[in-house]
Amino acid sequence: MLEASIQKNDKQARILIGVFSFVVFAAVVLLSKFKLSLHLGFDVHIFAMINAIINSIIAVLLIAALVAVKNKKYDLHRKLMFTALVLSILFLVSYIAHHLLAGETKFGGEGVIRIVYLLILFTHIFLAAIILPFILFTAYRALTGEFAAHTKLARYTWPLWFYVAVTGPVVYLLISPYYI
Amino acid sequence: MIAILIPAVSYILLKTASDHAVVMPRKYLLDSVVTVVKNGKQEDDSIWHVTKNIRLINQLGDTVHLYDRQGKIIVLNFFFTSCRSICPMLTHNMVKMQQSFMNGGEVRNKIDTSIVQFISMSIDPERDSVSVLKNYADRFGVNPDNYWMLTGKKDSIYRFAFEELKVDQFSVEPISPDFIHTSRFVLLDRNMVVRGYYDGLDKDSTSLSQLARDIGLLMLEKDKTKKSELFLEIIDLKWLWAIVVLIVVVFVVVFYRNRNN
Repeated sequence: MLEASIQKNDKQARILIGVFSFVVFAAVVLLSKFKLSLHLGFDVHIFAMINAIINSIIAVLLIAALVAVKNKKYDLHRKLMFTALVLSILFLVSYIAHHLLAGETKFGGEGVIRIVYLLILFTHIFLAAIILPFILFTAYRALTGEFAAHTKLARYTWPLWFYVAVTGPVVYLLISPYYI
Repeated sequence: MIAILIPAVSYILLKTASDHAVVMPRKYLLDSVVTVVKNGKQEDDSIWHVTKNIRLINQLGDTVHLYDRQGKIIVLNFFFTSCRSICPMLTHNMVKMQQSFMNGGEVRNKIDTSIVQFISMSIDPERDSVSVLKNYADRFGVNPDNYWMLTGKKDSIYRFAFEELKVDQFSVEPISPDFIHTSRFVLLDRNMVVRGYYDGLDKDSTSLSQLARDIGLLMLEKDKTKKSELFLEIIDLKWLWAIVVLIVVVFVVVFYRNRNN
């Protein structure tokens, strides 16, 4: 097992994680109301592609990290998870950039594919909105060395995060033909 | 504009403020200067003297090598048990330093204190047998885990003191080659390079706190001989990189096919 790398302070952690999650959530909601009409000289939908790539890599990292931890390679698990967290930050930046620059796109499909798309999209958005505090709390339990609590919480966080990471690129593949 | 300016200004401010805030302990013993060609450029590279290994016996009767403690920071001095003048004070100060590094910091948050190894070498090894050293160590409350009191062959200890540590260097008082009666504490870094000489009697009452500070700095010093291990394992995961490349290629292809339609 690894050693704790930060000191346990649940109260402070709750406040910090709560505030941070709220700020990110609010920023995403607020910024989605704006659209910048800039002509940047490149296709702004490239950010959507970057988002899809980052999300796919996170999904792979999540699997790799799960395999690593099941094989008791805790150090590798930690490194993979850190990479996933860093990629998530990059994702957030790219996501906001895309929504600011490209605005919203209407899905052009009809019938069953439309229902499937909307189903995936809404579950994806809903879970993505609530996943951040889960991820941060799970990471916090690991950093403080409370591995029993970390494992318990990760049983919920991992599937949620994995679902969000996989459905992200799926949504991209479905919507990208309708980008203007 | 602002998005570039704010980070840039912060970086410059922080850099100018912090560059001279910490003075790393200098290296003392220069072996030679070699000229190497690096990336097509000629550079002078100083080769610092790396302390050679020595085999001695500690207060528990175990045969130990200096290199058993490779990768640790070493604080070393010379003494002998029948000494009535300065040695008790030196040992006392050494033990105090050992204890302060043991107790330091929060339990959860502490740095690994076992990273420091304290060593006192007897300069009268014929009389300082293992049992004599053990008695002496117990009297001062020495914790043998990371504080060795060493005895062994007299000539190898003396050779070590003069040729490897150069205890007489930069010394104001002359040190007799037949009897290393010095109050100096010698500091070695993780790569066995001498990084400082300190007055173990602490007459000016700053040298030991300086030593403690320097130990802390050496603990944090970046080891340039070692590659960062943080992402090494991830870089090693070839299959992971293969998947990442595959993902990137697939999405780029999808992207361009969509845009061209």
